[in-house]
Amino acid sequence: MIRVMTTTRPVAALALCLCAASLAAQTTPETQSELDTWLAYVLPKPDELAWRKIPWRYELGTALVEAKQQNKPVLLWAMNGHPLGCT
Amino acid sequence: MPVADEVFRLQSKKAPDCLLFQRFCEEGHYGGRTVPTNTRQGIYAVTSGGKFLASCNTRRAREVQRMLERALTKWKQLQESPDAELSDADAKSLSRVHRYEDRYPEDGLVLQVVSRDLPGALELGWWHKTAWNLDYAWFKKHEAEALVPEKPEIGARREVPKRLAERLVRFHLVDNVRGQTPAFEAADVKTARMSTKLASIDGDLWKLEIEGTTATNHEGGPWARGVETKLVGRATWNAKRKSFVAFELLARGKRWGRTRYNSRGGDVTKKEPIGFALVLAPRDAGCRVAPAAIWRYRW
Repeated sequence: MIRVMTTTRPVAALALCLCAASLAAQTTPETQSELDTWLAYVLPKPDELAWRKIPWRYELGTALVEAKQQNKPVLLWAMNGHPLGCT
Repeated sequence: MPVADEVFRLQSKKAPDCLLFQRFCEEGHYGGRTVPTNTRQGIYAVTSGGKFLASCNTRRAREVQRMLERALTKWKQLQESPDAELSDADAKSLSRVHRYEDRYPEDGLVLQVVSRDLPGALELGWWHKTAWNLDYAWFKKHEAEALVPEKPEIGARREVPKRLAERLVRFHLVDNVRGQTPAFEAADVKTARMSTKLASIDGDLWKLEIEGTTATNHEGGPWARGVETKLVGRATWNAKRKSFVAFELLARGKRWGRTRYNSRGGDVTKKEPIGFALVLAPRDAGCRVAPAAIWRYRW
């Protein structure tokens, strides 16, 4: 699976480019004091986690049982690699 | 009822949930297809009994919306159908399906492992700049305890057991930024060193500093690849409850080479920057997915 930003936000993209350029110019972070900067760069931003706002169940079988109990259809998102993990 | 699940297992195994999937997926967008692949990836709408409603395989919201509209129209038509609903017998067999998620370490340590290219990485496609991936790393309770210095003394250090450090390096510090990639073999591990140091104590809370170095190298052929990183991080251990309440670890370094599905190209011998962030995972349902290489944990 390819996880990409699904919203087009030119301002955010520009900010990301500027941040990346700034970080590329810095020395290698060997110390705790630079940890926050790199973690913030690597960890997903709120826009990249929009898909997690949906209350996904993680197993088809239990979702089918729950759907029967609630008289609802099931929406299944199926990928190579679990969609809620590594794809 | 939204659910996400892994398609290779669903389309190839014989467990009750897999057999049910194999019935309805053939009515969908890839039904009967074997070329270019036999994948059944996609988004499916079905009744609780597995009656097909609609499906598609797209990232376009408008197409998904149209699929959902078709599905709801058919759902209303099937409401009175006797076999639209999951039978009690099928519900019973589904409740006996065993999954790796059953081994979730409730009293251990669960980390989210996020991988992302760092500035300077080669981009071949429009989506490469913002690509990232997510996996989970699991530690049983005694394994989590093995990450913590044994003595409550400022400056006390502990070398992370080789078995755990190597598991992290082989299965989690892998270049999956742009797609799935196999774990490294034991022989590919050149360095897997990680240690923690007790930096301060505040009541029951021990503040730890983490450092280390890692290196993997898989030699030979078109799939030669490797990853080299330096580790730096911090964690907070509750010594009374014997659990981590905070964990942030950065693995930053270089990667090279490619695997079949990880969308790398260009000069595959060139080392390019990559970063991994390993942080405490939330305990909600969406974060209980097993690590991609869980069967290699040998739990």
